[in-house]
Amino acid sequence: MISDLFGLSFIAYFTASVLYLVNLHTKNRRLAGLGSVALSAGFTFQTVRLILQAHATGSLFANANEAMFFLSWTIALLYLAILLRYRLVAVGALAMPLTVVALLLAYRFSTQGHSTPIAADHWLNAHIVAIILSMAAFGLAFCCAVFYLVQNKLLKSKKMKGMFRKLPPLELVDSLAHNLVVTGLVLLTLGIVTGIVGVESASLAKLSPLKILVSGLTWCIYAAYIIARSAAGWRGKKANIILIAGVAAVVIATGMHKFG
Amino acid sequence: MRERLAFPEGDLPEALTVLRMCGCVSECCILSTCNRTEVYAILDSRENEQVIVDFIASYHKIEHEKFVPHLYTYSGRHAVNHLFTVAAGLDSMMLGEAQILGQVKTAFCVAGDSECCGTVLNTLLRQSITVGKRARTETEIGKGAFSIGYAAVELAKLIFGGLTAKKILILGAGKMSELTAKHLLANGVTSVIVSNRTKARADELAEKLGGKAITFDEFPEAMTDADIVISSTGAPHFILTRENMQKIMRSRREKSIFLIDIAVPRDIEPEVADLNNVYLYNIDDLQTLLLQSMEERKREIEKVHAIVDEEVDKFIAWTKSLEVVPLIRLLREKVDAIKEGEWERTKGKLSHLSDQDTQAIEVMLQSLVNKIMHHPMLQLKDYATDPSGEEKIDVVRELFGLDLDDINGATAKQTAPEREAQTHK
Repeated sequence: MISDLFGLSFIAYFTASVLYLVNLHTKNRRLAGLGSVALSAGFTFQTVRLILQAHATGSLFANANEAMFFLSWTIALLYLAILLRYRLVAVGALAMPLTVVALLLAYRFSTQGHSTPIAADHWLNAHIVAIILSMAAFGLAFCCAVFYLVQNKLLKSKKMKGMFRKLPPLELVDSLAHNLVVTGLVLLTLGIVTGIVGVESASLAKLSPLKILVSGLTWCIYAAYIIARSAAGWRGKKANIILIAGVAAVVIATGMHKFG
Repeated sequence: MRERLAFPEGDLPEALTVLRMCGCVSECCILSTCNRTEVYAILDSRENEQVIVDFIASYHKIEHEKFVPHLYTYSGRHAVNHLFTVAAGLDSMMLGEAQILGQVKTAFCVAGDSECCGTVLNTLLRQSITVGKRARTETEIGKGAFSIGYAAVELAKLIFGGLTAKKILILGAGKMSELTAKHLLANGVTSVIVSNRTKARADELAEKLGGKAITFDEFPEAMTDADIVISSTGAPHFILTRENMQKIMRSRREKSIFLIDIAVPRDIEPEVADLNNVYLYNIDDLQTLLLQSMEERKREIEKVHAIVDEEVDKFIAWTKSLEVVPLIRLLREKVDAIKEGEWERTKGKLSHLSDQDTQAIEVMLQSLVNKIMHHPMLQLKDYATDPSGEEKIDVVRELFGLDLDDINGATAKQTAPEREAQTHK
């Protein structure tokens, strides 16, 4: 049952990704609606699976693959909220593929034996939740930034063709990305602090310096974005390019992670 | 010519009453816009079309020769098709514009209030509004820009999203900038500042738009705060250079700004567009956008025609079902008459029965007639929409010995769906 729900949510999110992507290139207005239906279905499957799993094991993410599954769920939840609040259908064309990638990673971890249980320490649990939420926020900020840059380019070059009417308004995605980054940075700070405290209290092996460096770098990139955008007059294009770099750092940091 | 034949909205009720007095007109409606004057009427026969032409001539006191060559007349299916095409915006100068739908609604309301709309026109006009709405929701015919002002609004929305709380600055109080500003105001912009070399004209326009006027020297300062700038001064040189704009952007803390340069020659140095967060569009760019929207709408025409055809079919089917109504009534009357006759004759012989018993027999007779007639009546309604239904209807007619002349007499006044659209373009 639990693995069926995994497959079903994967199929649903994959369908939503395809529908949202095709929607950008066609005039058919039903596709976006169908995409949202697929998204809602996938989200329901995932939620049910999370509940069943928490009920069975007493934990939302007993190991790395489940943490990835939880990340995918968080991105879907966050995007769903954005969709309902701002009707930003276009952003789904990137947000949904992100959930698919997270699910693929979850699958890969589960087959690669990354299923060593994560230390059941409440500091480390808090660390994982905070980090996953911040990753979801940064991931969606990345989606917004990409759309900002594409739309900015189209508006500047005055190529008023194709998808330009389907893309979200510049100011909206720009401010949304900013709000997401602020939220994400707060969560990342919490995640780093709880992580350090957790390692100390669980008396695990010392953290590798490289890992601290990459986490610190990620933190710095997003902090730089906030400062550059508000103080240094880097609003718009330059600030949004930083967000693309930020996600690259997040990906590297995650790749180095040993999960406990 | 178009103007001479127009019916101002205030005069419509009176005009409709005059038209109805013609005798052979049972229902009528007049659609009069700046671009068309159309008279829709249900006549007792097609030969009476002339009545409408005469009405137009006498109402506007104009000789026939002067306007008849400009007229076009449709009847039956073609008239329905025409109205639906008009409502869908396919017949408008600006393909797909939405104003016409509102005008059809108004025409419908006025005709309704003047008691000139019967069953047929009521259904027809209601359905034409449905067609208009369907065309705009199911296709992209109503999408995109329809004028420079529209194009500006569309672009502004792509940059800012919602336009509420956005501020516009007008440089040069011309007609074009006024129109563009009005479009933006209609879409939620609340604050307007007007700057003009002659302060008096700035004051005038500011008052008209409910904004504020400033002197021309003050405009660079005002740009610090504005979100959308519409420039259309008569200046022979650039009034805004890249260098100036750079300073302004710094004081704006790089907040996005939308510059619309509709002046010829240009007011704003084209290099201004290279600056970050500055979106500069000149009149040619807006024209291109307008043409592109037009092209995209043209691609939707076929889809809209399909909707129109579908709705016309629906309407024609409905009128056909209406055609059998008199036949059904005649049949009903005939059977009822037989029942009444027989009952009258028998009633006398049944004087020994109590009142209660005679009543029971009468009720039984009535329900017997109803039950026998129920299925044939339903079937007749089906025949009306059936392509080979006419023959079948004839059989029914023969079978029950229903007189054709009687039917025609009954049909004429009520249902003959002869409509005509007289238009002046």
